[in-house]
Amino acid sequence: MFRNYLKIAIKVLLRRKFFTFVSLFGIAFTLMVLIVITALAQHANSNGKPEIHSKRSLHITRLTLRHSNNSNEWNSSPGYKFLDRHIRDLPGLENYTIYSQFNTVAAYVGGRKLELSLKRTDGRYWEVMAFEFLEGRPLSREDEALGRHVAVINEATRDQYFNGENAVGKTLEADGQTFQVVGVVKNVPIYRMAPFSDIWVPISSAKSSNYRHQLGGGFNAILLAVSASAFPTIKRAFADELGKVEFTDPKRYDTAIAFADTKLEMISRSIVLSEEEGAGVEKFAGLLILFMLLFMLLPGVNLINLNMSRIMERYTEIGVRKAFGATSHGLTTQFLLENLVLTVLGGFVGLVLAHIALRITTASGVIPYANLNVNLSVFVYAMILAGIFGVLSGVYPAWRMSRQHPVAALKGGSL
Amino acid sequence: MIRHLIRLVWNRKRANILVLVEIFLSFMVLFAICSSGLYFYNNYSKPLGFSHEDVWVLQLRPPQNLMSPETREEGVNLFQQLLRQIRANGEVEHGAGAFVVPYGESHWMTSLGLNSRKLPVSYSPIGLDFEKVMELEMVEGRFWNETDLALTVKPLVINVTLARELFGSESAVGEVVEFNDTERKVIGVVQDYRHQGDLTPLKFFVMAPHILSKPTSYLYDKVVMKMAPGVSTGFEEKLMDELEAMAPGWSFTVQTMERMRNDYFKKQLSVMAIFGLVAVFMLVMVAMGLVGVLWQNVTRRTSELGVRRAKGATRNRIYFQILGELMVITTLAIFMGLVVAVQLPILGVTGSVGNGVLASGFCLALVLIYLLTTVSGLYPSWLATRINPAEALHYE
Repeated sequence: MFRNYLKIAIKVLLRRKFFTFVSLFGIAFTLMVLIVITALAQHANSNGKPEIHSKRSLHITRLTLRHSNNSNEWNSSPGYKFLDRHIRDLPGLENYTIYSQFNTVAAYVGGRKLELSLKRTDGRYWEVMAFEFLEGRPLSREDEALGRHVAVINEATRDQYFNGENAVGKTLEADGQTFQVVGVVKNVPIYRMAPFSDIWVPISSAKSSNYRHQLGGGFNAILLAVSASAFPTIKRAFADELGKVEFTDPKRYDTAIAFADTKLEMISRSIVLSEEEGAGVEKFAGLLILFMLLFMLLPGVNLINLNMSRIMERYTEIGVRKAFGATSHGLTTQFLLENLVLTVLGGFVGLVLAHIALRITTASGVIPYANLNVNLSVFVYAMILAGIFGVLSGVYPAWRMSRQHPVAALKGGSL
Repeated sequence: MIRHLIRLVWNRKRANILVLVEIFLSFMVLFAICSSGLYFYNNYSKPLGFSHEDVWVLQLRPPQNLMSPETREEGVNLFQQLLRQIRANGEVEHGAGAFVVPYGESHWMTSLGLNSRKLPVSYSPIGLDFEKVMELEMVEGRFWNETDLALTVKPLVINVTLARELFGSESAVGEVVEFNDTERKVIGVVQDYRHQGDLTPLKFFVMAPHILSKPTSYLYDKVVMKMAPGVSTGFEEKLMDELEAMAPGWSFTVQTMERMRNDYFKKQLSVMAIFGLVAVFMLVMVAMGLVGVLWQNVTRRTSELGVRRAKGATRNRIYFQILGELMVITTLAIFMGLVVAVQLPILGVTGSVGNGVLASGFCLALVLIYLLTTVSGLYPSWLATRINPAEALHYE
């Protein structure tokens, strides 16, 4: 039965090449845009190297200081003092790390100026992340404890600064400080915010130790839980810790608000600006789906129009089939299937187009160290999207068609 | 004729409603694209009002972000030493402390009051000589000097747009306004300049002296420098070494404003290019879809059109009947668009996009949608004129 429908579907598509081309073009292009967006989201959120533990990780990236009676508010990343005091003793942790956000620093080599991203990390950072080393070793807890001026650099920095020669043991000047290179890692793209940088150095190598007294500003933390089931315990304990924060000037601020979030919660919180425990993930997902549906609306209506035209042309065929006892249900299924064949075909073309678009993005260098491609999970998402699109745009024409009275249809009546 | 066309469209309403929805959606896409395009073009075409040539921006990061009262004075002294050192170099013509610079992607807002009126304004606390670095043009009055800063009522400089709004055609110099809950005297009106970059709108803008000696004020995070023509990057390294030797705990980075401008344009234009490209592809898709649907309609109506031809209608009349029906549907779609578009200013979601820009965006979109539907209707209408009456009647 289905094979029969499939055969008819392909025959019909081949008969009206112009219609098929227009439909395919529309479907492929719409799905391409959606696939590119999906690929970006998936790459930023995946748990490939170096973030191999991202399923067990919670991130602390924002801190809000408030005063309960007046409108004073300070919004920034957390400071070292805040993180160091309040995450150390949380229950259910296997490990934790504190690291700075990246700063752009200048390095001069042979009269040329390089602008590089520099991140300051503790030794544990390298236990939580699994960077791929090309040479040398990661920073250690000892480097951090002793305040050694050592650095791990990425491949691109090695190419620019040391002309691609072995860098371990050599010195590098950046941000007015001199570091000895101890390791070189593969480039990490910028959309992986936690591991991204060009140069990594110990926090304690900072020019002054002022950061130790700051409640707000400059640092992030990752909490590595024993397992994802420990998340609620950790979150509750962290919320309790917020009550224990000591404020330097209680007249200005007396309340601290921060959350330990999974990656998804982190993104959702930054978009819907939620201050609730669940980070408004449902609202975020709702917005996302709404946006996708809105985007599919115009191509969808276009496709419905084309489908209607195609069905009108097959009036007599439908009439004959109905007269010979085909049920509305059977006919609807057949037309939906035809539409699905078309959209899945469009999905494949869209996938190829998306692949090309991502390649161009990667090659253009707009996103530093981007390594975007279409992988299996993107492919699966793409096919699901194509399916949704196919069903949505096929239902109305199929329903209209199946309700047609056989006599009118045989005569070629009006729709 | 038009009434007849409307009746024809009405008679086939079930087939036409989908086409109507499609044209309506395309019109809304066109409206959005045209309005934002015009908005940015409108901003871009106004004079820039400052010079970015030979301007360097030095970012400085003192070791402590949160200012503690104990170390503040030391920080202020060190900053002033650094600024003196920068100005002492022959390569630097002028130097000034700042927070908000063009292309810097940050802006500060506050409110400004006159009598009982309060206006939200964009503002920038700046150091002495900022106007010389940026080559700002005065309309009336002047910028402040050291003696103005010693007075109890501190000075302010406002831009022309704000001066016109508050004082109309009268002189603004000497007027006292309320700014940040203190009384300030306007001593100068500066020609409008795009303090955020070429593509951003002109806003009410206030420049106030930043008083470092106040215990609550922040340290500058930027120093803008006007360089002598032809200073090379070699000087940058020398300057960095000098500054780092003087202030060991601090971080410094230098960028030319030219480079910041290029980055700014690259970023803004690539976002616009992506949206534009997606929209163009969508419209091409719609055009092809319309051709398909109309073509199909014409084939379905072979006998109807055949009868008309047999009864003596000329090819031209058939041609314009098909096109005319399409135009009726397009006009309906535009009316729907108009209903939606007038909601926007009422709901107040347009932000800094003026109603004038929206109206011209609407008109441009209107022209383009007629163009789009006419072009997609040309071939199917021509096809309709090719119907051979004898053949068409044969089917009946």
